[in-house]
Amino acid sequence: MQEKKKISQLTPKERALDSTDLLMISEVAPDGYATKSITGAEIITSAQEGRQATLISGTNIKTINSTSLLGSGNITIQTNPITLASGTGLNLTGTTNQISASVLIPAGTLTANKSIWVRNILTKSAGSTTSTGRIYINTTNSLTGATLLASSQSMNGSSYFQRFERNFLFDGTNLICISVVNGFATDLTASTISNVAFNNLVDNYLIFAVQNSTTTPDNLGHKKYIVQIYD
Amino acid sequence: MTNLTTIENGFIMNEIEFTFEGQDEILDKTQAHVSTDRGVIFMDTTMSINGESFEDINDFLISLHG
Repeated sequence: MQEKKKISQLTPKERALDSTDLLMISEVAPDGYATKSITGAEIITSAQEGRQATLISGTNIKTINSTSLLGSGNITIQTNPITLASGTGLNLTGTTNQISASVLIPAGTLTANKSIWVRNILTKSAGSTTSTGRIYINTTNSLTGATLLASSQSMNGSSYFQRFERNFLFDGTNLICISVVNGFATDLTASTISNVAFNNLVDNYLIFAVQNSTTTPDNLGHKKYIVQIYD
Repeated sequence: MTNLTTIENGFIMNEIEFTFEGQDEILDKTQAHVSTDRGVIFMDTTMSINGESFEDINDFLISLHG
C-alpha cells in the first residue's frame, strides 16, 4: 500500500514549472487507487488564458512613423495643420462637368477662424481645346446643387499642367476666398472676394470637377490633391 | 431628384432660400451655374422645378427665373 500524504506535506519543487512536469495524485477507490494527472503545459496554458501577451513593438503593437509606443513618456503628434485627405483624381474625357475626385469634410471638423488649404495638380495628356478644373462644396457627394468654390485658369493648346491651389477662411458662416468665377491657377494674387455659405455642423464634400470643351481626346484630371485644415 | 421651388427673384432648394444675384453661366446643354446670394450653384437637368422636368438647360433656366 502506498504511503498517504497530504498535499501540504509535499516537497516544494522550488523552480519554475516546466511544460514537461507532471502532477499526479491518487485517491482511494473501491477497487484500489484512482490516479489523476495534469501536465505542466496544461497548467501554464490555463494560467495564461485571457492575459495580454507581452507587447513587442511592430509585432503585436503598431508603431507611429516607425517610433515605438512602448515605455513611458509622451509622443507629440502634429495637429496644425491637419491633413484631411490626399489622393489622385481621375482624368476624364467628355464635355459635361464631371467629378474627378472628392473629399469628405466631416461635420464639426472646420470651426470658426480656421482655414482650408487645397492644392492639386491639373494635368492633361491629350487634346488642344479648352479644359477647366473647378472645386465645389456640397452636403452630398454630387455636383447637382453644389456651390462653386474655385475655377482654374483655362487650359488649351499645349497647356497640359497647372498647379491649382486655394485658401478658404471660415468665419463661422461663410467660406471666404478669392473670386470663385474668375479663373486663376492660385490665389497668390489679388482679386475680388467671394463669400460662400457653409454649414460646418453637417458633413460636406469638397468636389474636384473637370470639364473639356470637346468630347475626346482632351482628358483633364485633378492629380495629387491634398486638403489641409489650419488653426 | 432635387426639386426647386421658385419664389420671387429666387428659389428654394433643400428648404434653403436663395436669391438671384448676377448672371447665369451655361456649361453645356444640361448644366449651368446660377449666381445667388449664397454663392454660385451648379444646376443640371436632373433637377426639377416646381415638379416639372427639363431636357434642355435653357428651358430649365427660363423656368427657374420665371
